[in-house]
Amino acid sequence: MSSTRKKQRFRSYFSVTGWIGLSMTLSVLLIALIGPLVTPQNPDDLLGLPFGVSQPGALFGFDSYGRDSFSRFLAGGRYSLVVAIIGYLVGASLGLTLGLLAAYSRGWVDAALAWTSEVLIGFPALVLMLLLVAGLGTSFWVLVVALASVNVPRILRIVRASGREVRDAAYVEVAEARGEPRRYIMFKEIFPSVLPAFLVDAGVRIPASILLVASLSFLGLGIQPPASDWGLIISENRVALTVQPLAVMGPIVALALLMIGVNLALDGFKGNKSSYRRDIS
Amino acid sequence: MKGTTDMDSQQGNFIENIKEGSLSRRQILKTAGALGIVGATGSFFDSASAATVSPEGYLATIKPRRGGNMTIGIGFGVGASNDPHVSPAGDQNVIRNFNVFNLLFWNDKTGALKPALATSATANSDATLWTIELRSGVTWHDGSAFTADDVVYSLKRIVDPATNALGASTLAMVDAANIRKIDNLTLEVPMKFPFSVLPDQLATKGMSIVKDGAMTFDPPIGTGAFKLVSGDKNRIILERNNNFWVSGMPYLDMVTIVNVMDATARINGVRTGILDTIYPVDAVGAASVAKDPKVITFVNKTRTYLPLYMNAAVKPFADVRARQAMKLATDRESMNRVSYAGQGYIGNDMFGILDSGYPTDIKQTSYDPEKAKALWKAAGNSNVKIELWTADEWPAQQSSATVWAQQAKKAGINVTLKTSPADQFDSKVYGVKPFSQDYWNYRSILTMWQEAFNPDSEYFKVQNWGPEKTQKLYKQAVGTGDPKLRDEITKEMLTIFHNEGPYIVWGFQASPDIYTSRIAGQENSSVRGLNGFHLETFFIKPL
Amino acid sequence: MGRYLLRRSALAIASLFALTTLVFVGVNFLPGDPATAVLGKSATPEKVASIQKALGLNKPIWEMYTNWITHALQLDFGHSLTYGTGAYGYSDAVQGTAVSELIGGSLKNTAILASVSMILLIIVSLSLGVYSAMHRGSIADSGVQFFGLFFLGLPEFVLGALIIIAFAFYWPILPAISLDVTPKNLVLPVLTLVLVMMGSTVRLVRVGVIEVLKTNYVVTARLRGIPERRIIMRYVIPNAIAPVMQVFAIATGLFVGGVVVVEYLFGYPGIGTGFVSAASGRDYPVVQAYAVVLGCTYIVANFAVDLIALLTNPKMRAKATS
Repeated sequence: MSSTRKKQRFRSYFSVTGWIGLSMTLSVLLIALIGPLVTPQNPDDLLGLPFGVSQPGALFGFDSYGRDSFSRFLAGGRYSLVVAIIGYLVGASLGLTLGLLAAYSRGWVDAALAWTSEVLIGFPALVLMLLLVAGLGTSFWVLVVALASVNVPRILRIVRASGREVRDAAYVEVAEARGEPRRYIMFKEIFPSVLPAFLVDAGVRIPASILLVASLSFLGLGIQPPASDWGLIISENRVALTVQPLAVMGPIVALALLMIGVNLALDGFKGNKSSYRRDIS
Repeated sequence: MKGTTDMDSQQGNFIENIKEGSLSRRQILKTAGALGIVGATGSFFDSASAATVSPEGYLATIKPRRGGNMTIGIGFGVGASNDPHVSPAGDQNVIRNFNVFNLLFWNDKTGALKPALATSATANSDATLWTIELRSGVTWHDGSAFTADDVVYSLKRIVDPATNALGASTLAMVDAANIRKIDNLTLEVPMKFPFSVLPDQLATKGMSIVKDGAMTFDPPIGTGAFKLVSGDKNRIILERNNNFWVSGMPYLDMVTIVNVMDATARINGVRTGILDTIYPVDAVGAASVAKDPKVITFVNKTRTYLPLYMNAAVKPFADVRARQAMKLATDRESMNRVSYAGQGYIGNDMFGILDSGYPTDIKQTSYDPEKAKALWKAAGNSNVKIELWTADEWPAQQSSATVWAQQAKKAGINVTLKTSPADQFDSKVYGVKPFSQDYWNYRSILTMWQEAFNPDSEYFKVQNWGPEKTQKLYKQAVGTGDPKLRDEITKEMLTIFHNEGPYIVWGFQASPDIYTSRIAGQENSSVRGLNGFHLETFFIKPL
Repeated sequence: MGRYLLRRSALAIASLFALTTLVFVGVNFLPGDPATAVLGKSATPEKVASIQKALGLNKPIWEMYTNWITHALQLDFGHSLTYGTGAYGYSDAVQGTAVSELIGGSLKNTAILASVSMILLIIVSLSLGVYSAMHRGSIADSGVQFFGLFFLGLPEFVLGALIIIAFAFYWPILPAISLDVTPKNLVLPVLTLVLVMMGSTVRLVRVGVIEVLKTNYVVTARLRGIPERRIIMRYVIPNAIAPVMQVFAIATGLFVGGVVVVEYLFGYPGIGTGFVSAASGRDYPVVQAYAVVLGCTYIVANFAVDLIALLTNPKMRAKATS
């Protein structure tokens, strides 16, 4: 396949608004990833008066401690992003494996996995995370585990549902007749047909995880100061929304662009049958 | 208090009321030579000028009047036990206890010791037996008369281990079994060893006097300015005690205290007039309303302090040079600016600022990264990593720790800031981690010392510091009846504390209060914010 | 059908059981001793021991668990550690206020806030969703889509703060905080919740209706010249109920989190504030009770939504019976 054809095929995946959404999403992710490397000031240094307003060298003014708001905004996206992505990946690998296993196994294995996941989905995501964080503290890995435990049963359910549709397909039976091992059938035969649903789900689930981490930070139970984090920046500085709005605007706009972008992209993703949603419950 | 207006004459009355029971100069002279007379520190009135800034011009023209309801939003859940002896030291409990109950003595807005339910306390010649005289004509909220039986019961109840009272260790020197009623308004309190500053101990917040035999406190029967009418976990309602022992007070008919967890919501409440005042307010919150004309801001320069403590039994803090390096690595100005909007007193690694026993001639330690680096290196700590543990539990706790860690790094100290969930700070960090924070409201220098720096102190294990020389000095100080000599001794103790002690006292809390413009009667307090938690002086401004 | 119902009820009960177990484990076995935590700085061994005794922490684990669960089944969640005479383990004879008594009021307040918001949310998302589906591509449709996206991008804690600034400061017509439950105090919290949720629900309803509009029977009905209004009432709405109910089933999950944050923002005296306040006051029995109540609400709401979907949709009824 030539590269132009590849490109054309790739372009045809999205509508115009889809492309806009995709670029919004990617630019926010880019800021989050690269931001910490290009901060004009050390984001932890006390450089001005608390809530000092914008001035040359301090584009967004100063935050509640007198630190450079712009630098903190740039530095504040990565941690939640990394937590959200690792939390997602851990959850996804477990959820995918178990979901495929459930879809293929039938019988009591399927029933047990389906039931367990339904029971776990019975917990609202935020409440489950609050419980875990309240008990285990707020370290990086606790947040990852909390996010993963929110994600596993939900991904399992989606994978199982679309995997069940093909487990009786002829090609699966052929593979069985060939005597292929179970692992081969799960990942080589069933997985490809599960992939679209899995990917669309990932597109919603990763940003939703970022928002969930931001909500936890906002409630004081997520990432802890003095770290820069978008949720934390909003909660530390929102009291001065009428006095020094620039201290919170960066994170607010970035989070909004991320959510809107993801939804536009998914909506413009041709072949996606689901619609706008930002929850992961 | 300029003594020219109606308001001032009202306050004059208040002072007169108190004074009527306090010791006059004549009485002091009469008992000259006797030990431990309350007020013999000479601090009744003369320390006032140094301690407070009166909101002059604001109150001067307003005549207090009766009536009205004031709503206070507080940020920690208003619930808690109505039992003043076991409810924890949290401010929500202190606000209620101070207004429903009374102490025998109290620290007024200047920190000066004043008589409340007691009128005097006199020690015998070797300060082993105290005689306390009580105020007459005081009634409980249920109408019965206040007598010495109530005080005997209360003191015994506080000391009784079965009560689990918060203040039990504060009265560790009291021989509780032999507390004795002399007559209806007099009692004798024997000491286990010579102790000449009992009234200071009795003025701390756990020392509320309850009614003889009280076991349940639903509703609490006190002698305070307000009666508790009803309460649930979100709201408590207090109404005026018409028989309060300070005539004319309180002015308000009713006080409603509501729970508003979120600091921004509290501030929005005052800005839109739904709440009349709130507690606590941090520097950030005060800054956010600085330009709002509908809000009045008072800044209380208090003596509350939030030191960083170092456990002197643990490396690297066992070495005095390490402790000194840490003190030199402290940028007090920055911490004060961020945590207290630059309005607090700067600390010099000693407590008891403004007290007569505080040495004022010691050079202020200032931020000196180079010297700190040299000392830190000399102590062999160049490569030592230390952790500073903090939490969002006390006002300015997290912000001051954040600033400290940031500035100390520049002095070559390899410090990592660790944040604990607020609800695990007391169990997992405080007194467990070698380097963290402490929080102390105002109390006299010797009372403070008794709480933390003697080997038998309740909080000694937190920092494990209390050399023999200060132990000896402490015994001397509480054993002498001469206030001048006592001050000399505490100055010596604090000098040692400044040089070798386990505390980085970087500043004293500036506690801003914000009020809607209809509220009057506020006074700046050097003890705590919100009028020192005394609600009886508040009134609604006439339109 | 009966079998499906049975299975679904069994699932709900299993979820409830798992929830209570997890809450119990969360509070009792994770780091942070409740007794020390509640006493704070003033913890002494004697005081800790007395609280541990009051909490039953000195008993074996399984006994604690069966004790707690049998009491919880009778809606008895023990006694508060921080509220009422006898809190803080003063003595065995006097205990703190009963937890069920403490949380009753906030439960009622949250029920009011949540049901008003939910009813409004359903009305608004149904009417806007159906309207934009019927007028696909019109300016009104694009407008609805745009605002939906806009609100989708704002988390509750941002939207709430902006709404307070708009309606309590710049245009001061409504209270910035809601300390008690009055119609006026409810406006802003309800508005925040509805707007935050609307972003996704309107769009989901719209998509659900559009799918129905594409079905053969609607197309046929149109061709037969049946009036539009009748088509909507006879064909579209009955068939759209199931997907729409799913929308609100998903919404209940978000709703629980949203209510916690919105109550906190407005100081509203409900379960959310109670939960945060009890957690920061270290009142573990109360925290346990709130977690159970929050989880149960969600489980029961999901169960109810599934039942309604089952009863209203012929297709699902058939599936459930098979």
